[in-house]
Amino acid sequence: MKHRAILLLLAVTAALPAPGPALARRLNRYEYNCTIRDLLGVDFRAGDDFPADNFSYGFDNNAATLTVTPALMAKYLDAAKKIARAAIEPVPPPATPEVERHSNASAAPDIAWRRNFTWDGDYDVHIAIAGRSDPFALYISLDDGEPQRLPVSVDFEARRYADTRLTVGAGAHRLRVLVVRDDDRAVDQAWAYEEARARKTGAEPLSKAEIRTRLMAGALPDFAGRVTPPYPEFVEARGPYGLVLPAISAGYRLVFSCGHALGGHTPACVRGNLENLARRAWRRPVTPGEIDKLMRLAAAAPPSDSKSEQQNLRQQMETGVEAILVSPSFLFRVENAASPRGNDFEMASRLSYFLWSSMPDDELFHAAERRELADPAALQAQARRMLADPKSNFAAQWLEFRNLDFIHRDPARFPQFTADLRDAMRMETELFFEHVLHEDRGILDFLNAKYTFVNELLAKLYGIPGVAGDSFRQVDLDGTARVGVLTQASVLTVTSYSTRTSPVLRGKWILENILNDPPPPPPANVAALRDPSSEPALTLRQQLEQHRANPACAGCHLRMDALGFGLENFDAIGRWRARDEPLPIDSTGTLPDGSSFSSPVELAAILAKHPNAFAQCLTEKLLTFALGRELNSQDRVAAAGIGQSAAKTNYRLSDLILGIVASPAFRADAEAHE
Amino acid sequence: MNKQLSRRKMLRGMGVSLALPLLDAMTPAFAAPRAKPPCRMLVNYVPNGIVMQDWLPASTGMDFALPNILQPMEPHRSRMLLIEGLAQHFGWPNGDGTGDHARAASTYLTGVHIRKTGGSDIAAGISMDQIAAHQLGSRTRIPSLELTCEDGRMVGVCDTGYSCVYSDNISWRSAATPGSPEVDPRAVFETLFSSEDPDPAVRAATRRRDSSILDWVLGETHSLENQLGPADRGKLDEYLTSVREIEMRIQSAGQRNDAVRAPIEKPAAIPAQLSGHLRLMYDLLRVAFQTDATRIATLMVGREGSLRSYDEIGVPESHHPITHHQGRASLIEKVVRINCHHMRLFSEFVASLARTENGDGSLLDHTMILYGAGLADGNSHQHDHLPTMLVGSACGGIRSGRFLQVPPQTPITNLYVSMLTRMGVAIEKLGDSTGELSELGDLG
Repeated sequence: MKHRAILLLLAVTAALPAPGPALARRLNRYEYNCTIRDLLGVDFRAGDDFPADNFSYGFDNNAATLTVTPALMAKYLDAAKKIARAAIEPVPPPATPEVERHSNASAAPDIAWRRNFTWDGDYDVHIAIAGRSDPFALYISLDDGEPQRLPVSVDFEARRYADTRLTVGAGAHRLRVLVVRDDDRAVDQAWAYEEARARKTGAEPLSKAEIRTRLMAGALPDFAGRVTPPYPEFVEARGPYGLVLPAISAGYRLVFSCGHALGGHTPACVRGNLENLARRAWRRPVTPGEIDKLMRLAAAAPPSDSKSEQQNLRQQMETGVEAILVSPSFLFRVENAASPRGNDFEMASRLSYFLWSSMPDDELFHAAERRELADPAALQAQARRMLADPKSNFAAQWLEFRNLDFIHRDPARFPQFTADLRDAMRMETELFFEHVLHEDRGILDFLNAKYTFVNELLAKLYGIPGVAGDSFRQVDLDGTARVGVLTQASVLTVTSYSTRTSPVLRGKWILENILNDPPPPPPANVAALRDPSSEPALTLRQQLEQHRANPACAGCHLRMDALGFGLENFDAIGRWRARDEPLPIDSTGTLPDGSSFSSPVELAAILAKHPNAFAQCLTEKLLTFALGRELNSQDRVAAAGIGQSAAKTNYRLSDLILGIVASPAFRADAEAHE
Repeated sequence: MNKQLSRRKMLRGMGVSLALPLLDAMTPAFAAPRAKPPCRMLVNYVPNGIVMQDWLPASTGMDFALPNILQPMEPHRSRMLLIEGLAQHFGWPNGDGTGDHARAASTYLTGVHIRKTGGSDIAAGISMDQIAAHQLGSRTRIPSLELTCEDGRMVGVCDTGYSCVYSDNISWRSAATPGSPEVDPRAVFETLFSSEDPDPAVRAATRRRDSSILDWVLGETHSLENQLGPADRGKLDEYLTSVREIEMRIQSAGQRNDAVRAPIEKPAAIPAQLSGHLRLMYDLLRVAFQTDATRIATLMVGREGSLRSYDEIGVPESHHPITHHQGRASLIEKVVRINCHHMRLFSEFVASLARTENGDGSLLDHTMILYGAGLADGNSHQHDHLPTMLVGSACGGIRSGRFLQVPPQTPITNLYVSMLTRMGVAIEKLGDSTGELSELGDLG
């Protein structure tokens, strides 16, 4: 026993992985949750109870540091047991129809909603349209089919409504709502108002071009409520109606793919069900031999005398599902398996875990079966399709706002920092990231966008008037002190301590996540500073100035502190402040390259002057996440190339992502094994 | 009936062929309930160092006065041995520059030079508790427990150049596999107790089923491994080792097939304040030792470099930044308050061990607790003169009630060799150890 354990230990130690092509990679907690959800159609979130995954190079999907311990193994077993039991249990349909709403925060005229319909049946779709200006037409399409024009209710309130009823099969469907509007006419209307206003006040009217720009950005406060281009504000689906009983849920159908009626299990179906589930769970074709072994295990389940045939077959399903979910083929993404068709399916998984943090869907899986993913154009098409429905948690890790869940603020100083505010901060940055992606915006929006997304709570924190209610909407930041992600409360909060801001942390955050220029480690033992107890209290700026007097510290702190102090006007929860009592805030600074600034907005403008550095930074972050490993020098060269070619298209975020998917760096790991 | 025979019979009944060696001793404590209770060991690690001027007594020997931070231990002073002069040589930069917090945690129980890396090629060494678990772990339901009150879920806040793994772990199963401590008291409880159904027949059936699934998993893993190159096998080996360990747990539980009744309630959510969280962890450690679920445990009161703030004792500031107090009295006072808070909670735990009967004495009589930090002064990152305290008499192997000064720069790993020897672990050298700490007391 001892010897065996020690031998195993030596084996593990000897096989230290070096940076390079991907390893057998364990699903992290987030990926586990997403995969189970997509595999079984039910959101179990068992992974929330797993031990936290280790972070490396900024992300928690690094193959080398995702380790397995007995404690985790015990949880895998336990989770599989609970999930298997629930998965084979038919779910009773809801007694009353359920309603789910999808809101459109960005005022875009076109919204897409991927909804999981649990049941076959009819669903009432209810659409609210905000904004005024006629004429416009409203269209709806299901799963990208032919758009149907819908009649819209008459205009007697701020909102108008449209209703229709759709018949859908259980499973995920894409609803698209599109407002086709006459923008020229809206501009004319607004122009008329603007002219009247200018006549009245004697002010210079805005140009027609300026009105068009602002109008399309949803940003003409003077005309709010009078001329706003109409857009779908939300869509609701209510149902199911007209259920054919006994109804079978989407999740149940995913497990019992054989398709028989409830309770009509047969031995052949058990095999077919398990084979189909194993193929999906393991994200690759399965061999008859593998299923034979799985069936032997399932059939060896407990003594059968006291149970009916149906109960025994159910028991076999339960054991089979449980085994599938603790198999290494489920828990690990294994690349370079010797299977001759391996690469197609590995590429499918690679793509889906990059964009979705989850398993491939049927369409992607079928593309792999047809060997299409070796074709760059087909691969791009799949990636584009998938980007319409992003599910990965890249942004929360890159911008570090995931830490909002774990940080703490001194309640005496920051009583406003409630769970609701924390959620609102997270939501703002999530919506912002999605907006940049979906609207094909350039990545410089992260630095200099004069818009953001707030609800009433966050608007109050920011001092933005006229926002009521919990739902988020796009607001114009022109004339405010805020711009881009740097001044979003989420970022400002996670780079502060519980009682105060930290210019050093904020500076470091900018260097690492925006400028791609992480500070080198400080020299050893700089913390041993002289005893200043006899000196008067110093401001933070003065203390750090003292710190920089040490030449060993000066090089890096000069950069970090200058950047960080540029954001000092925002306190530890992102509120604007002019003073840090008893002294006024001094947010001026000069960067080592000589450029100087005197406000957060000016700092952001300087950062935006280096789009190449930022593009390279963001591409490297995306690539690290996509590959799940440390980047090597070739990867960095590749990232630089992707960033530079995106310059042609104004550094669109989607182009960086698609560039990675097309890059040898993303594909080479797979090809290296061919 | 002969135990071995009944075990074989059980395995035959399961229709499982085990590729595992028989365990060297099937739980002697259960086989002979009247025997001397076993010895338990806990390492209680506190982050960000300790303010040494409020920790070190003014005089050595038996009659020392307890300084501020140690005050809560007054009722237990006859059970404590304070040691001054121990050092963790590999905590210092040794050419690797900054990263003292990462090194403080991961060198603490390993005594090796850890590789400075962001993650791809992590290398520390096996920690002293895991050496004990490898040798003694098969005697209990769970070889060892790794606990923390603060886990590594934060992005981007680790020590420069070192993967977060190093700051989050003192326990290392092997050079590349950290112990990944559990933060959730409820999960610890479930590991200790809740899989046990009251009906022995149900328990036996569940174990049979679990065993056959794990057996199937071993087979699947082997065929998968055959398709992989050697570099890819490392990760699957970790998995395989874990599957085997769970299988052994199931077997050793099956051997007894007695339900272990939990002596405490199942904890709910993780309490927001440290005191609530830590008290739950201490309760769980006490019952784990009491029911002989395990004999070896480590507890990180916080991750190294912890940013926790302590509203409950009037310290709303984050811990780590104020330990860099640069000599300012107002900040030192707050750090001391945190150090005292940890000690108060710890002393409650010690009192509860002293109250719990075990064999012919108390649980404290049969437990050895190392209370310490990987840094002495947190302000200047000192890795020598580490604050070190042994509590409990370790089944008689330690002469307590003393403040012991050892020659400066004595490797702390010497202490570990002596502790493990008292646990009955065969060991001669650990990390950078140069011998034993003979001053500890006479081996019984």
